[in-house]
Amino acid sequence: MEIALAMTLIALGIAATLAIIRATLGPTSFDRVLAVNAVGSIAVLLIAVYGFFDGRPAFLDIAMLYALINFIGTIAILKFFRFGTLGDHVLHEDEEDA
Amino acid sequence: MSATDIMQFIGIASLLIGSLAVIFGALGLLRLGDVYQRMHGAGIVDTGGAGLILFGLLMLSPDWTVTVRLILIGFILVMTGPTATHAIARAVRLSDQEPDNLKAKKNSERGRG
Amino acid sequence: MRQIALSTALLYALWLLLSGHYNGLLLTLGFFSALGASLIAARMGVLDEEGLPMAILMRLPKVTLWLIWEILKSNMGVVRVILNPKLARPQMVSVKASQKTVAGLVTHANFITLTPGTVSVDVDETENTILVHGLTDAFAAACLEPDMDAKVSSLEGK
Repeated sequence: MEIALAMTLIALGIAATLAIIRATLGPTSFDRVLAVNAVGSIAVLLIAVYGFFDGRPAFLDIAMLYALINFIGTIAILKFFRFGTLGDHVLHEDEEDA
Repeated sequence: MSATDIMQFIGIASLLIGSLAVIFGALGLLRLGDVYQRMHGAGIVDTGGAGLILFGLLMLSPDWTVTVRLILIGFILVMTGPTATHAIARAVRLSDQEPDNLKAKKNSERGRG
Repeated sequence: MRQIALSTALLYALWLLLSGHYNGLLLTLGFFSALGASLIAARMGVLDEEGLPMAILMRLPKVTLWLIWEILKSNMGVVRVILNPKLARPQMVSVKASQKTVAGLVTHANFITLTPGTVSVDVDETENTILVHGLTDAFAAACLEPDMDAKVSSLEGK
């Protein structure tokens, strides 16, 4: 069982490396956001599998939080791209837009 | 072979297939042609890869608190993954960096900006 | 009011599942934090049918197995395209949705994105259409079939 978990960890590491290469290459900023979001998903799995590998189930709570923060981070970055700020006066601009 | 042995076998098989799916998804992120196509690669990581790996861990789970957490992680990933992908797709649509072959269709298809 | 009670109950159940400490003081504190979070959510105005679509959430288990099977099938399809990127024929199609509520429409769009090979790009609430990006002809054709639309509409229960 340890061997299977270790192999999964290595596979997740390879996948994260591939995604980081895409984040570095770009070419558009959306490619980078997409790749960073994928790295985040892989990191959630990595933390969960490592928790099993090391026999420390508390890691699963961290994985859960990471999944939530990954989502909020992606939305925040996209909002920043669109409006150039994260402040609440943006709402006004948004209403004009719609 | 007892029930735990069978569960362990299913879990390990699921983990290994899930690892393959994650690697294929990341490979798709790297190999496919434009930003929309790469989203399908990221989709594999979020659904097939994450689903199979979490299912594998579920089969190996030692007690119920771990099971509850794994199910919750799966639920969160399933709820947030498509939403984030859709947000990125919509942002690409609204930007001026959309892939060329789909851009022309946009103007004829929908009359509004 | 009903929504606040429901949200508090759900959050408290979640707290009980995750906490692992069950003595009087902590159980009370947990209840008040669930209530506080629900009250803040109600003040923010997000606790309506759209924010807590119980009708859809209760019926979700009905389609889970079918959805998992769809996801596995289309995963295989996308892996085939990744191994040979020349197979990709990216295209946009407009899918008609028959859902009557906004939450149902969102569920439909999420299901489309959840199956790899199709990503919902834009949702039009007034005309009830979803603009979908398909990776190949087969994926684009698959989401035009009324199968998924019917399943999501059955979740609404109306």
